[in-house]
Amino acid sequence: MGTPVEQTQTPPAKAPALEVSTTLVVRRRVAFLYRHPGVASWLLVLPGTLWMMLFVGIPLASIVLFSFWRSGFAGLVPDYNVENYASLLGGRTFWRITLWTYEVVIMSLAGVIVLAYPAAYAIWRVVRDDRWKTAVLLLCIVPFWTSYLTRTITWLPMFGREGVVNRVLLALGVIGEPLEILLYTPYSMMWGLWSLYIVFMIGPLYHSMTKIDEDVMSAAAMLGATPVRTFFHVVLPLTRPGLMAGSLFVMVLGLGEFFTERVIGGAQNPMLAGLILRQIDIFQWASASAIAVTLTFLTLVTVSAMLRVFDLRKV
Amino acid sequence: MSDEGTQVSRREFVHTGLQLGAALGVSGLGGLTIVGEAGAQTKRQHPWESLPAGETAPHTKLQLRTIGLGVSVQDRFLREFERRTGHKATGKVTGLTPMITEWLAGGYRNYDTNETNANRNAALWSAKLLQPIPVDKVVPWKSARDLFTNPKALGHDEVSGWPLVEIWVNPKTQQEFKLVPQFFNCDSIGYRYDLIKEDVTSWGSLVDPKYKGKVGILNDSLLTPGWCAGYMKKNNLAQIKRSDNMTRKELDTVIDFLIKRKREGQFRAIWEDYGQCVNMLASGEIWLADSWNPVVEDVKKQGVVCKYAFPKEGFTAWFHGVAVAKDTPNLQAAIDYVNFCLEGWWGAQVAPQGYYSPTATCEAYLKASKRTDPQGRFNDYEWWYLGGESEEPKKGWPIRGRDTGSFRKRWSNVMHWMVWPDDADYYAKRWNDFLSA
Repeated sequence: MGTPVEQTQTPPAKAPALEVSTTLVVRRRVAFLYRHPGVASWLLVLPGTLWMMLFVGIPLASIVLFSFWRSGFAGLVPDYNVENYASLLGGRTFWRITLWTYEVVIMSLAGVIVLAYPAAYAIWRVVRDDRWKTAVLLLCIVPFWTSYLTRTITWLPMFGREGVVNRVLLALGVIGEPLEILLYTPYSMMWGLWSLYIVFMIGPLYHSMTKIDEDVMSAAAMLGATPVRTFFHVVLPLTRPGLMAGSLFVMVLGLGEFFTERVIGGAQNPMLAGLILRQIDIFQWASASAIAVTLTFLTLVTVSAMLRVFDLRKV
Repeated sequence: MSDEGTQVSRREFVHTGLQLGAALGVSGLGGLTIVGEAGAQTKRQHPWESLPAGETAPHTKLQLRTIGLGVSVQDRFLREFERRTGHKATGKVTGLTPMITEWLAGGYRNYDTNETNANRNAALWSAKLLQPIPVDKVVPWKSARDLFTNPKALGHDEVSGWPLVEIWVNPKTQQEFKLVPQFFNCDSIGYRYDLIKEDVTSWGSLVDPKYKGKVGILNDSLLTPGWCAGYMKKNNLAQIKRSDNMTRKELDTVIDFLIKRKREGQFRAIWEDYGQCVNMLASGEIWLADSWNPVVEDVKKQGVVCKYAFPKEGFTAWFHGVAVAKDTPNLQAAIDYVNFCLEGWWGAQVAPQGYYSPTATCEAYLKASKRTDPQGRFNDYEWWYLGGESEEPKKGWPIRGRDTGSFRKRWSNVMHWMVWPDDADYYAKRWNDFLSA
């Protein structure tokens, strides 16, 4: 490091010229982008698009391609046919599993909405202190720092024959025999799914609620609306964006669900995503691809239908 | 076996140093000096042979990169291999299908060996991702059990040709391995003796209405219909020619039978993995399940009275092996690993989990250990291979020994081997029908 005096005495000779020319180039480019906003938009979109093409587009295109091939014992054979789809869509099992998958997803969604609305509402209206709001929101989010698999498995010691719930109920004398309905049934699976998905609903709902103008709530109260009436006629319509965002999360996650069904549900009622795994287990990659494509298609149709009901882009 | 602790003359000392140096690929005087000074306390012919405790072989430039199940790819095994050979060893633990899938998708370049189930290894062999291993490179193979060399051996299946057909490039000449057997066993039924209060002696117990709602079965489209077919065949409940490789019509009969049982509420749960089965049996969620020997041993370790059944219809047999990647740059390390797994120590390590070693070399290690018998009367070999019921059972033996008895008794009662069926796709299709019924 030199002294200030030294710096003024011996200024760098070429650097300012270079700096000036670089600045000029940048300015010109920025000016060009201002004059051509379309180009700027394309450039902004480019990195994300490239990323998506590379890591989503190419795998997805491959899966579509493979779904028209045939599975050999040691890999895929490029022998184009529609047998994978014919066999899948022509069997009753696929439709039965699809129907069951939608039943589970809709029940999960309904349960999550019923549980998440009061929770989000309480955080918004009941908890007044901001620090407490943060604390409660954190309580909702912290379990989600652990892996989805771990959170699912955690229900086993809770609901098992010798699990916490059964032990407590037995100790209280409420039941004489351990309840077996708590584990390896569709009901237990539903509990598991609700717990897994609830944060995806609480978050968007709470966010929507905080966007509601306080004056609107005051106006409703001044005009004599009861809290229940206010909720249904003011809060509910104004939180539709949050509800729709949360529903999309739950719907998409639910349609891809395979683990909870196996571990908590006892694997006796498979869902669509589980079907893919079953095919992969025996190296039937072509039929697994066909199921994956069908599931992706169903998911897209479902999401599109939901967006037709309420278009999030218009918010 | 090594002569541990043997004192050697200076000439032997230098000679051993030279041999070891050559075997380890150490070139130059410096390498020999290191081996001479630090290593050769024993007369080791090969780098994979045992090394006295506290000694470590000098590092080589080779490495071993393996992939397999948690049962065979364990850190303690890899560290012992490193200690003995000086080759750096790394292992990836995964599932049966993922390990094959990864290799078929090009991942084989990242590994030297694949420790897999014989019925899935055929996919790697067909894809030409493996190289044959000459039998003379596998030194402990001279102590191989009959089952893996002789088509007349106890447990060999003449119809399918198993296990020989999946081991050898040519089962008749037996000069090259496709897959070097590593460990093997028979599957049957694990059951809670304290809850059932009688011995389970048939696969039929899993579909017996007496145990309605207390049964767990494995979620496997090949294995579960397999044992059920064997049960139906042996008890004349259905016309089935081969329970290990059924025709569509035969499979339909079996699956329809299972669906009927499922709808009647026979199955409490369909288990997915090892730990899940252990937990279900240990917690009493299920009383019995089509199970694996180590599962039962692990349930017992939790202080639960669990037993492994000797089904009258027979066991379902399988073996795992080590396959060597076609273009491995670490061929010598891979061959050393194969030898290491068959040298005896490895086989003795997996015996207490209930697994058998394809070579008899583990016998010496097991005979020197008495870790299993709670009374300390039988050594581990007597327990795990003779069933604790040696030819002259000892008086006052408090428990009968290993469930299902001796190696000979178990392998004289094989229902079928777990072969890969010709129509696996149809198996999966019908299994989905069962699951969703």
